[in-house]
Amino acid sequence: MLDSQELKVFRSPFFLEEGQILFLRFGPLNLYIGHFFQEWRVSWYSTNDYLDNSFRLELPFNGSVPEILNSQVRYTYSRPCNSFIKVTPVLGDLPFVAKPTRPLMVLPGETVKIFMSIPLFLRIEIEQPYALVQEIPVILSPRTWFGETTIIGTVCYSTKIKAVLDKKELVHRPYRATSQLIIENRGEDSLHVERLKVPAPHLSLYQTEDGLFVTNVIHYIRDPSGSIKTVDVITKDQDDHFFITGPRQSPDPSILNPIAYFFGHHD
Amino acid sequence: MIDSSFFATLLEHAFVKQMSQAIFVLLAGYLLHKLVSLLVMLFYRDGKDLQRIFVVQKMIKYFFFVVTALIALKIFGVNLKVILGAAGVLSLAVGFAAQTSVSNLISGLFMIFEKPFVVGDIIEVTGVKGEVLSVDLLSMRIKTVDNLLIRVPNEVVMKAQVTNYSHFPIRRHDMTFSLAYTEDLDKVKKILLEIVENNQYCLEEPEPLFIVEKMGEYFMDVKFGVWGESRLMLNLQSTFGEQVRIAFIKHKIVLPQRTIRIDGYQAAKSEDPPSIAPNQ
Repeated sequence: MLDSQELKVFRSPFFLEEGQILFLRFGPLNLYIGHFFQEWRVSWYSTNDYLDNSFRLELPFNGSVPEILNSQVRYTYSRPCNSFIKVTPVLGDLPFVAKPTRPLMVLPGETVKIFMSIPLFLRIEIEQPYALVQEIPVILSPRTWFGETTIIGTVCYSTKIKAVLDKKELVHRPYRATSQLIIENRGEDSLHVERLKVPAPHLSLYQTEDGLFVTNVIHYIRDPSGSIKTVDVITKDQDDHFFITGPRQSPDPSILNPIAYFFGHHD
Repeated sequence: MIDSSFFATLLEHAFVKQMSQAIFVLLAGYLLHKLVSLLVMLFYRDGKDLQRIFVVQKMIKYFFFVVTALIALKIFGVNLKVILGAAGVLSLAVGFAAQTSVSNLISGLFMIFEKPFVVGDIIEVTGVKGEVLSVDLLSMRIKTVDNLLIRVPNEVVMKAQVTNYSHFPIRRHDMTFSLAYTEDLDKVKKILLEIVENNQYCLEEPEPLFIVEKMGEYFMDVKFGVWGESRLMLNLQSTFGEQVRIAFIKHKIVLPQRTIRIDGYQAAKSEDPPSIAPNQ
């Protein structure tokens, strides 16, 4: 059983003396970081099992030096390096798309809340001031196209865990963040939600009191003309949450003035 | 010590007066040209269309050069009508002599403003496929995948059919498989969709295309189209084909062989080989 309080370890940098290894099991991702003479070694592999709910941190890692640490990326210095390393969960570099568990129709004048669970990346930074050395997706998400036509749209990651109306239906997984989407249908007909997109690069990541990761709330408004004109990224609800990372990209016109393809298509 | 009246006298001298006016015109023309260039840079401040900025700036430069030079000549009392007339005749002569170059130049201008492709795009023109390195006024340069530099005159590009492989963010990769009529198409489709699901370069949506394209004499051609990002298409093509080959061998999907049955044919004796092989 996951003790989500353990996830708070990411709030501060890790201290590794020379010769020590850090092992982190973060969902399907197995990450090793070694501090050696004038170098850092970072190695990882993912089982890509999206149902993997495990979390384990071993610092120092007492097992033998895994062979993988000798074969992957090394960051070398001409001098002894600082012993602090930052490992921070971040949101993905592309939006995430999911289907609702059941076909969803938002009736005219209605507002629904939908919850999506999206996988995180791990950002590894060394030295002070911290410099990015690596960003690792916890799970390799397949890519998909999200757009009304094959000309207008965006390449996104697809996630197998479906969007739900009841937050309780979402299993808490350490390596995922929950996004809340509010869909307000001010149109005169029903809105058929086939697929949903979470614009991850434009969102911030927070951690709740119990250690779980959440993003900003996204508010979509479909106006009476039938097109989805307004998207609002709400940050005030996150005031009582611990801020982890900000958005990768500042909001641009395509997110603030989206067209219907945010939802696949609607009737 | 030079008397100030010396300068006054000098300035009153016709040639010096003309010279100073001409220098002023040239200087004003130069400054105006710089100002207009700056405005153009501000107009294209996103810097994405370097080719167009380059051409517009060149055109502005030549325009100001010609206009200020003509004004300066007029200050010296040169009859512009004669010069313009001579220029007309000269340009006609040059035009005939450099017909191809002029054609390339005009084609280059059209291409830069029409923009069927930009630097960095992967295109195919007159059988040459590669990345566009530059679009200049007379020709464009393409780097092929085997690292050859090919110069294609703009005139040729204008007349030819150009395929741009990177214009849209995604495109479809089509493959055709010849299968026996006895093959289970649902099974084949399932195998191919599994490959799509596990290949990181394939897009889940738009849905892959699976159609029986042709019913042949002893086989059927099945077309399978999978979508991928244009920029990663080469990776998709190189990995997908190999994965299909492995999966087909694993699931014993064999390609059909033509079989001819000859009625009345009896097993031939070793010294009497058949004239038609039973399997071709």
